[in-house]
Amino acid sequence: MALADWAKNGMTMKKLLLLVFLLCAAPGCPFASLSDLQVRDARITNNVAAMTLEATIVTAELLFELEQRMLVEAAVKEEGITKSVIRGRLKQLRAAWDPVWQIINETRAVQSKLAAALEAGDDVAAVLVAAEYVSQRTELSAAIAAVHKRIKEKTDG
Amino acid sequence: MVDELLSFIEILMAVAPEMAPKIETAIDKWGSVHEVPTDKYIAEVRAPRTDEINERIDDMVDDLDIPED
Repeated sequence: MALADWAKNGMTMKKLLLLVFLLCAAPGCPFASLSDLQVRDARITNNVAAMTLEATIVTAELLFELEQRMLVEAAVKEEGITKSVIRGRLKQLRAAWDPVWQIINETRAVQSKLAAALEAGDDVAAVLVAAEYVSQRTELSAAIAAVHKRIKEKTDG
Repeated sequence: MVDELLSFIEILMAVAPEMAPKIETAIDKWGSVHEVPTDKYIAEVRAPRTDEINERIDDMVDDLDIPED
């Protein structure tokens, strides 16, 4: 029976509400419920955070490689320089980067914790981890800014 | 933030033109930020590829035409 016929035959408001409820309870419902939208928002928030973190990692990798290349290129211009001296300097430079990788790995761990809390639907945990993530991200931004400044000083000087 | 990133990319292109292909890859990755998945949570972000980078630099040093010690 077509919907219009059904309505003509005395469809009441209660029947209409029941129909909407049944449609939305069914899998593949075309109308997203409020909780569906909240889950979607949480996913977007988490995923933007994850992708921004990945873009930050790419930036850190570029800076890391650039600083090492600059060191090698400057060293080869020195009189009497040897490969072992350059390797020693590279070792020191790589050690100077260790705190940056540590902050990045800590931020990755907090992001994973955030995704797990959201997936589990644990709102309280998600809010607390989200706050932890913001603080961790701030620390990471400061570390990258410090490296950026150091390299910029070398290129300017 | 975007302005800072663009100025950083300009500096990078100027001082290390050989890194241009890597920078382009990075920009493509940055562009993919606009395609945020909504059907699942991204549970893990990849680790930094420091070993790969160090290997490239070590090869560069090995190839230098200078004495070992």
